Amino acid sequence: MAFAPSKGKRHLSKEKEALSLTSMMDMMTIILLFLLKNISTSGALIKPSPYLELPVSIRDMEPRKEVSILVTREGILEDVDEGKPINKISDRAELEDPANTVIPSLEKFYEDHKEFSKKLGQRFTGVTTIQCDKEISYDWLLKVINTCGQTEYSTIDFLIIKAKG
Amino acid sequence: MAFKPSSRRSRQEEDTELNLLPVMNLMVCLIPLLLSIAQFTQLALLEYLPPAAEGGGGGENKDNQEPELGGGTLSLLVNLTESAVQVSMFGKLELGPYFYEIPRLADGKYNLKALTDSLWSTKQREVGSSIGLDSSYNDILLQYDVYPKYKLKDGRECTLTAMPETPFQVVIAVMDACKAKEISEKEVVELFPTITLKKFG
Repeated sequence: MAFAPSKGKRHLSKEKEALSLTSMMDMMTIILLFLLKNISTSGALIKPSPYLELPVSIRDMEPRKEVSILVTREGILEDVDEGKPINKISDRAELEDPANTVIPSLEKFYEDHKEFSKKLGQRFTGVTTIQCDKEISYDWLLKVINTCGQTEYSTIDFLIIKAKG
Repeated sequence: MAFKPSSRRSRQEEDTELNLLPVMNLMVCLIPLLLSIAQFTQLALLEYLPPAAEGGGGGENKDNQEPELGGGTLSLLVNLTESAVQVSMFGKLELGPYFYEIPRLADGKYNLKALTDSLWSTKQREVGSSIGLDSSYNDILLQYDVYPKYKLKDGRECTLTAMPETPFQVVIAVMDACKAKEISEKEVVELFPTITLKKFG
């Protein structure tokens, strides 16, 4: 049978237990230090597209913002927004066509961009940034490079993922 | 004289534990901010400069003329075939000291370490040490780029050819293998960083 609580316990003051934040502080401090170590502002200049997989390389040149295109397995795009291609420049058939040493639609894209830059009074640097999927064939790569050369884009920056170590 | 505190006093001492709530507030603000700008994969650029004119290629020699041995140009060619990596110097295409093949590894990949080592031997034997410095004006960065000068005019240049279906990642890996060699942890030597990509055949 249950016994009534002792009358002596009537005046026993119960201590309020507060939440211990010490261990949570330890965890937060470690996460903060890790994120501070990884902080980098150059990553905001170019965002790798989720539409392709970039190759890995040992280069360490910092990315810079220039006119950019995406060379994917389905064709050449200007950009991708929320997984949807924006302004498809060239399709796969045009890239695979053996008669093409230069890609006509890409050539037109670069010429239009050059004209637009001139109208805005911007200095033409002749630099283009290309995000190329790592499985893209050498044949397609040469066509893209030839097209850039024909349109006076004499410096091509291939975006790569820096290899660790 | 000081008296000891009374043993009957009932005044409770205040708890002096550190208040962590403001610090936690700061953490809750900082951590999501840093998480949003954290870069877990670092990006970089591989700069490629196509040759100025199609006829120029990597040097002054035409395809149907063999450069002279010990002459002014090395004409280094790295060719990726189905079974091996072929390395040719001075336009030679017969097996010998100026043309050799490095077969693929057992897993089917190109032997890039052997390629780097062989190019290092070539650099030491045929190109030699730097004889001075040369410079060219960089229109983009608006500055002069300084680089070593060698007795052979194309001592820093290499032409890479591959089969049309060769994946881009393989081309990048071969370009990295031709660019530099790590002698030790602190010493990295330049091989042939100026690479021209050309069609196979």
